[in-house]
Amino acid sequence: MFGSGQRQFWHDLNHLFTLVCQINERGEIIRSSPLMQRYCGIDDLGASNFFELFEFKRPSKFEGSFAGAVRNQGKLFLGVNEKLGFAIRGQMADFSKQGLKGICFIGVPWLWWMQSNNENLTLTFDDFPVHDVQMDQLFFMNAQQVMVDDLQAINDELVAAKAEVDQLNASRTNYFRHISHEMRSPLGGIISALTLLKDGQYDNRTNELIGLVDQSAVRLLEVINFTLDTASLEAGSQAEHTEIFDLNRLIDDSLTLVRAKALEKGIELKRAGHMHFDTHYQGRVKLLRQVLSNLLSNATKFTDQGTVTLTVSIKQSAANGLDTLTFSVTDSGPGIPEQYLSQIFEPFATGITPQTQGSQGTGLGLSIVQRFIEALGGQISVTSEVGVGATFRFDVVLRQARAVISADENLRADSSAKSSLQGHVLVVENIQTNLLLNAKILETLGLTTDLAASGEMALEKLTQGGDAYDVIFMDLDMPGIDGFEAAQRIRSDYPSCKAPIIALSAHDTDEDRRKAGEAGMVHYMVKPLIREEVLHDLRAWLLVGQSKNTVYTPDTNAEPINKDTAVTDEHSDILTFKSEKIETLVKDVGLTVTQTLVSKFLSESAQRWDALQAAINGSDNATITREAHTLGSSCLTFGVENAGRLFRQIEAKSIAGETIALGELADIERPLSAGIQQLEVFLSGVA
Amino acid sequence: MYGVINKSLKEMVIEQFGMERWESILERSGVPVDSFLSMRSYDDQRTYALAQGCADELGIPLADALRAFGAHWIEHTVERDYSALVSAAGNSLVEFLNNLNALHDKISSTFLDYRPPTFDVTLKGDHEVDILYTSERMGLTPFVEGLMIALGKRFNEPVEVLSIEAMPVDSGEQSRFSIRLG
Repeated sequence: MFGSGQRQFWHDLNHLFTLVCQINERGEIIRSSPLMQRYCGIDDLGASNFFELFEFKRPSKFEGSFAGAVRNQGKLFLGVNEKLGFAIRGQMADFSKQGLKGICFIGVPWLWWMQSNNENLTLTFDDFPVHDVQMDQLFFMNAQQVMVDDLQAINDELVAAKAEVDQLNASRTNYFRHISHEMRSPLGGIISALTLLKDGQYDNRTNELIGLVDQSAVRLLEVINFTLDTASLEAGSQAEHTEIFDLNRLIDDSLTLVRAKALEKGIELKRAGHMHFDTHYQGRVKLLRQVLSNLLSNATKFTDQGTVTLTVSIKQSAANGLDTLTFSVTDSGPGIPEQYLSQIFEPFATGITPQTQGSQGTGLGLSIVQRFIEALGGQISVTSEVGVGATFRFDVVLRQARAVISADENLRADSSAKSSLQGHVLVVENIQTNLLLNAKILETLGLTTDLAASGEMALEKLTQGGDAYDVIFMDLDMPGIDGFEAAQRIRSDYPSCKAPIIALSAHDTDEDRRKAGEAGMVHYMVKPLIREEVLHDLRAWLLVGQSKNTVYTPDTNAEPINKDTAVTDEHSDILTFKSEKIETLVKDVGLTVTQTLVSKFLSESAQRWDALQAAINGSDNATITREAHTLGSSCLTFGVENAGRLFRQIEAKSIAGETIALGELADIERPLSAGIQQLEVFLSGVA
Repeated sequence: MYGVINKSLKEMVIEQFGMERWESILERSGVPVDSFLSMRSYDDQRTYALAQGCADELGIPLADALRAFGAHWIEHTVERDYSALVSAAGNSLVEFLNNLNALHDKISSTFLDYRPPTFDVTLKGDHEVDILYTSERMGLTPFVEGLMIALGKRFNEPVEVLSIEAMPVDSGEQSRFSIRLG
C-alpha cells in the first residue's frame, strides 16, 4: 500500500515523466502512469510483464530481465511494442529508498519510432513533459526538411534557368553564325573579284578606288570573322578542338605571314629565344596561330622603323608532360602610354592612343587575342614605353605530344619551295558567282577547271569519267545533295576517282570540319578563297607524279602555267613589268646583288634566246622545253611578266609534243624588250 | 519574419492569380529577391511591402489581403509542412489555441530570433471563446482573423467572428477576438 509520502513521490514522478512503471523482481508491472495504461491496456492491478510487453532495442545487450534492468540503470532504454504501435524511451531507476520497491522505468513515448510506425498516432503535447525535447526535434526536423525542399526547388529553378540561358545562347550563337555566313558569302564574291581586279592595269584613280574597296572589304571580313570567332568561342567549339602540331612550323608560319609587310616597311623581323624546337604539342593550335598572327601583324603595323621580335621560350616539366610556353612579341613602335594600357584589349579600341590614332583597322584584333588566350588557359600582359616600343607577352601550358609527321605534312614540306600548279580541278558550288570566281582563281594558279553547280551535277560528271580530276573542290552548303553527301558518295560509289576532295565552306566550325572528315574530305578551306592560300594548300596534292595531268616540274620561282596553251591567259597581254618582285629582291638581297643578278640575267637571256631559236628551227623539243623554261623562270623572277608567261606557253606546248613555230618566239620579242627596258629604268631609279 | 511567411504569400498569389501578377507585386513592393528560404529570418519590412504590393496589385484593402493570407497560411502551408505538429497540438480549436503558446515556446528554443505572438484563451460559454492576441508586430490582426477561420474549418468547428477589439498597448498590437464556434 502507498503511504502519503510515497503517493506524493509517485505524483511528482508522473509530473516529470509521462511514462512511469514500478516493476517487481518477477518483471511484473505493479504500478503505472495513465499514459502507459491508455496505450498498453494495463492498470495498477494488472500483472503484465514489463520485459515481455516491450522488445528492447537499447541497451544493446539487454536480455529483458529484472537483473539486467538493475544492472543497466542510467542507460537509455528504447522499447517497442509492434502490435500496439507503442514505444517508450527512458531509463531504469531504483527508488526503493523513496518506498518504491523493485525497479522503476521513467520516460516518455518514443516519438520518432511512433511517427514512423504508427499511422494512427494520437500523441498530443500533453503526452510529453514540458522539458522533453522530442517535439522540438520534430519541429526542427520538419523545418530542416522544408529548407531542403526550398533549396531543391531553388536549385531546380536555377537548373531550368541555366538551360534556358544556354538554349538562348546557342540560338544567339547560331543566329550570329548564320548572319555571318550570309554576310561572308557575298563578301567572298567581292573579295574574289577584287583579287582578280587587282591584277589588272588601270589608271591611278581606278587603282586607288580598287584599293579603298579592297581595304574596306578586308576590314568588313575582319569584323565578320570576329563575330564568328566570338560566337564559336562562346559555343565552346573552337576552344575544345585540339590537335598535334609542330611548334617550329607554327612559329615559322606566323613569321612568314608578316614577312612581306615587314620587308615593305623596311623593318627587321626577328625570332629570339629558343631557335629550334623538336617538340610537338597537343593543343588548340588554331587559336594559338591566330593569336600569334594578330600580335605580329599589329606589331608590324605600328612599327615604322626598327625591329619586331617574336621570342618563344619553354619551361619543360618532365613530370607530367606539360610545358609552359612563353611567347612575347616586341616591337620598336611608338609605344602605348600607361593610361591606355588597360583599354587596349577592349573591342573597337582602335586609335585610342595618340600614337596609334589614324591607324587603319577595326580594333578587334587585341580583343580576340585576349579571348583566345583566355580560352587557351593563359593570360596576356602588355608592357610599353612611349617612344621605345611595346611587348605583348603570354604563357600557355601545353601537353607534349609524340612527334607525328603526317604524310600530308611531309608532302607539304617537300613541296614548300614549289609555287606552280598543274592539274584538272572539279569545282562544285551552287552559287554561280562564287563558282565562276573560284574557277578563275584556280585558273590563275595554272589549273584547268570543270564546273558543277550542284552535288547531283558533280556526281554526273564523275559518272562520265571518275578519273578525270586531280582535285575536287566541294562546297558543303548546297540544296539537294549537299557537299557532305556528295563527298561520301564519291568515296563509296566512284572508286576510280582518286582525287582528294577539299571542303569549301563559308562556315568554319569544328563540327563541319569533323563531318567533312567523316565524309572523306581531306582538307577544309574557308571562303572566300584567297589565291595564295589555295596555292599553298594545293601543293600537298598537285605535285609532279601526283597529278595525272602534270607533265612539267615547276621550279622554285615558277609562276603558274596553264596547260591550255590557247591564249586564254587573261594576263598575257596585261603586264610587261611588275616592280613588286624586284622591290622584294632588293629588300631581300640588297641593290648591288640585285644589279649583278639582273646583269647576269640580261647576258644569259641573249644566249638562251639564240639557243631557243636554234632548237625551234631543229624541232628539238627537249631543248625547247629546257630553254623556254629557264627563260620564263628568269623573266618572272625579275618581274618581266608578260614575256615570262609567253615563254611558259611555249614550254607547255613543247612538253605536250606540239610543234613550235618561230613566229611564236617572235611574238615574245617585243614584250621581252619592253619589260627589260622597264626593269633597267626601275633599277636605275632605285639606285 | 521567417522566409516561410514570404514564401507562402508568393505561393498564394501564384496559385490564385498567376506568375505575372506575382512579378508585378514583386516590382511594386521593391523587394529585390524572389526566392525565400523558409527558416531564414528576413526583414519584416519585406513582408509588409509584399502584402501591401499584393493589395495594391489586386485593388483590395490590405486587411482583406492579410485575411486571405491567414487562411492560406493554415490551409496550405501549415497543413502541408507542419501537419504532424498541428495534430499533436490538439484535436479542437480551443485545445490547439491553448497549446499554441507551448508550441511557440518550443520553436523559440531552437530558433533563437523567433518572436511569436501569444494567444490567451478564455471560455465564455459552451460555444463562445475570447482570444487575446498579443504581438510585438503591428497590423497583423486581419491575418490572425483569417487564420482562426481556417483553423475552425480544419477542426470542423466553423468560426464566427463576433467582434474584434483593438486593445490599447504601448507597443506592438493587441486584439481581443470574440468568436462563436459552430
